[in-house]
Amino acid sequence: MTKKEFLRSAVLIIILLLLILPLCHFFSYERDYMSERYTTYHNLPKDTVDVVIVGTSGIDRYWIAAKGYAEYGITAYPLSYDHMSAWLVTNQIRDALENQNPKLMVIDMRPFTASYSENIADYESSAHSLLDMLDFFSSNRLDGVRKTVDVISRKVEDFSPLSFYLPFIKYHTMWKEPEYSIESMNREPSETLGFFLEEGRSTREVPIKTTERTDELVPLDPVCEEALYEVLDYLDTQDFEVLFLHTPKYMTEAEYGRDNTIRAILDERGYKYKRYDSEDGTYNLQLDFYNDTHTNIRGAEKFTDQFASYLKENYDLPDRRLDEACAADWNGVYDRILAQRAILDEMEAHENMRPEITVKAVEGGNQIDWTYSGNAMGYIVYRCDDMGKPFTDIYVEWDGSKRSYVDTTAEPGKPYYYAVRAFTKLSTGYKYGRFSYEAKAE
Amino acid sequence: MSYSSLSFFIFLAVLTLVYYIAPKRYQWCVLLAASYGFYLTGGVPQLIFIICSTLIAYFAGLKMQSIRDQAKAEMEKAGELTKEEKREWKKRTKDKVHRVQILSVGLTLGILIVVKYTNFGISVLNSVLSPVGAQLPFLNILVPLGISFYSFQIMGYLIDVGRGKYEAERHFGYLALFVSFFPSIVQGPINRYGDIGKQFKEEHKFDYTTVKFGVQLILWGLFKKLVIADRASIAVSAIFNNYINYGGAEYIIATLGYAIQIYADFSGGVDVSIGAAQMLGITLPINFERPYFSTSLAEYWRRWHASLGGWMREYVFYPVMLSAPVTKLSQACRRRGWKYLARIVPSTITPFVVFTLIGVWHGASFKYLAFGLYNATIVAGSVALAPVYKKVGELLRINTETASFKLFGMLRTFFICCIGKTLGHASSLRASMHMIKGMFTDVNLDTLFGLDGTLFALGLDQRSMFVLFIAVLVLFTVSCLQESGMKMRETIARQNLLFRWALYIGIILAILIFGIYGPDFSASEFLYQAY
Repeated sequence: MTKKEFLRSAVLIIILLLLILPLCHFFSYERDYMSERYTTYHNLPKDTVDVVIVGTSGIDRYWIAAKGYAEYGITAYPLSYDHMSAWLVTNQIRDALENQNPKLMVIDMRPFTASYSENIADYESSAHSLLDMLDFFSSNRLDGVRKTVDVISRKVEDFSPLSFYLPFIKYHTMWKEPEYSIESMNREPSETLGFFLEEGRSTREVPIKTTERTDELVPLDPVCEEALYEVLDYLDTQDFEVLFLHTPKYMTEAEYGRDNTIRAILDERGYKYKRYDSEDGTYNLQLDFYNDTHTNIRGAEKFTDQFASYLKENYDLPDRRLDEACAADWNGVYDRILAQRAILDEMEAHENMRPEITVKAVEGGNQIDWTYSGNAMGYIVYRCDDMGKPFTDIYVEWDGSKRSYVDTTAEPGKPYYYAVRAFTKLSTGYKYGRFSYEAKAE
Repeated sequence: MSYSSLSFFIFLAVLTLVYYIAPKRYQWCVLLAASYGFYLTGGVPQLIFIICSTLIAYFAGLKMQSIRDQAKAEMEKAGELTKEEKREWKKRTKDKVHRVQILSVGLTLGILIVVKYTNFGISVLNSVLSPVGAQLPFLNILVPLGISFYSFQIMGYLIDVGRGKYEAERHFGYLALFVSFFPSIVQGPINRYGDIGKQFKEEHKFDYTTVKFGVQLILWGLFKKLVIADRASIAVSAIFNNYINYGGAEYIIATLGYAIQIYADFSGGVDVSIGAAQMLGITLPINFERPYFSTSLAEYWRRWHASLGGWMREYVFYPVMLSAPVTKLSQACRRRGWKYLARIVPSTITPFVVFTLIGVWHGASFKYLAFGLYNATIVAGSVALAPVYKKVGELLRINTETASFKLFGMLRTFFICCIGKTLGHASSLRASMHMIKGMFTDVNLDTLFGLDGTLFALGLDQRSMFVLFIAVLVLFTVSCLQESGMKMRETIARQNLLFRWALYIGIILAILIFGIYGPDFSASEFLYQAY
């Protein structure tokens, strides 16, 4: 190999690496509300968050940070991930401390009451949710990956850990997903400080079962027990205040028993905890939850009031509404959530409403007119050549006040069927109204 | 360790480094250690199998060589012998060598048959015994990695040594390396000792161009395997595995898709093997030479898995064709005045033997037997009917040298191959018959031309289908260029640096992004799960 050949090879490899690194970054995590919540937290100005709440969906479905700020002056951020793995809670706390110096760290107790099976699905997406967010070369991520691989290897046979070390291996097929494009290259923050209103979830009302109480101490899953002790050992070395939190939900007898065990361990180690009971008189078991384990928007508002009052009473937290450093990120966010909620309520109230549509042949095409009594961001016009064939969208009207469109692509004399539906935008994506009945153009 | 796994490429990179740094006379040791190390990833029992087979080949080879050497020495010692005595001496020696050859080939073949076909035999016996209610239990037999490939290599070696084509290898290490050489152990090509043995004894200096060409071939192989074959297999499997839920149009799509998939898979895998060997300075034979450009089935089998075809030609086809029973049958026909029959008997009987073996080599199942017999019938039929074709051609004044006739020949051969592949790939013989019948009797044209959306409901959405289409187009274009005589790597090497680098970067990125590997991202998997 000559010097020239060596140099050329080296340059080619460097160019390849320079191209592959951004690709690895692009294909390295799932773009969803969890990544937005993470990005928002890490974009907040340094040392402006007084309370960080780490854990599972048992946090962010309950705590409306923007309401806590708007009505109580508390900057408490829910840095949580669905199905958060118990063994990664320490890494979650470490990550939370990167840019903020909170006075209080609130830790969700739910991860430690879990029990893990031998199914890889129990571990994979939950571990990826946090690990793929962390800086690729950070020691925190590598430690999390090492623990994840260790835990899964103990429980699952024939498991390949490579995608945890190189998330690209898992995410490189994301190009197939319609929502991924060059524009989604950058991490997007959340507009609602980590609280997401979602169609069907935030406003759904599902009666929950009553908790099966017991005084028994049910042993924790060994993975959870080990993780809990690891968290406590880590917290022993920290100087912020700590509170373990259990948000209200239905609990099975086994879960309740495990929760008793956790509380016993916390008592023994001298850590505070707060368990909110779904049957403490605050919540309407018929209306405030969207499933057995999560509150809807109504329940979340109640919980936020309940927990914010507790924080104000028990901790010396400043009123951050007077802090200019917080204004840009926190002011007005709760109003945005309320506005979104109003739209959602209206959309749901109009759930059974369809646009009414008429079609007439005009010069150069078919004119479609419709009426709609609800508010909409816009409308989508659909067409099909023959009944029995699928409708395809032919036009998107982004102006919600317009109610007419001329289809100039229609072939004269050929019969077509048209339909219209309304849509609006929520923080989690678009919500679509019902299809109008079809109208035929001869 | 899969040839398309990250661990294989790390292994190959480290090995290449060590191989060229190591003293030249010990390079074979590095390769042998690497090959056994590679094999060991499949487990210790597998290694024991391959070592046992190598020992059989080694000692049988030495024995045959010593019989021949001894005979030669004794003949020289005996001095002047009459022609008759010499013939007698040679016959005795040949018989002795033959006995060792039969024993050793029989042992090698026996191991292969026992591990690969015992359970098939039991299933056949069970179907025979089922009316009387008796059932034999299946055995839990370990099938060592690549046993079909290395057993055929060993048998080829033993037959060649027995024939005196070359001397037996006296160095166990070289023979062990020939048998276990890791790039070709899993998916071929089936090497001949005469071609490859001497390369292991040569010193290999690092050559930038050779290593570069090896890497290029690996990349091209990975593109075919990961971007085309593994993607096409999703839609193909969806239909073949649930054929009962689909119709003729889907069967045609699946059959065409499978033809693309299996070619991209096999040839891609072999490109990785050949490329890996080339990085180490070892040249392996070409195994796939654009078989879909063949104008006859016989030509197709010379181009598809050429090393298996070559092996069969050398060790089965000619020996059977020239064997006493076939010769006698041909002579008997001639004596009765059936000249045409006498001429075609050897070349029509032999394909049945060869293709039955090829069919069974592919797997222990009746469907593979049917696959073999189907190919044999077509090849033998085309030999038998060659004069008829010629006559018809003359009558209709068909010029067989035109491009259009060649294209017709290619399409006809491709069609015949596709039907054969359906026989081999469907879940059972009955399933393949159902599918083949459906292709001719129950075709929905909207489905076939992708107008009713069925095409995108086979596990590949529009984006995936588009990627597959473009990748197949690239493969087809490259194949056409190669078929026209262009040597791709040499041609690329003559292009400007910017073009070359853009090409390398393009193919690497295509493999990384569009390849099917690792745990597939699934948005639904990440959907909210109630905690």
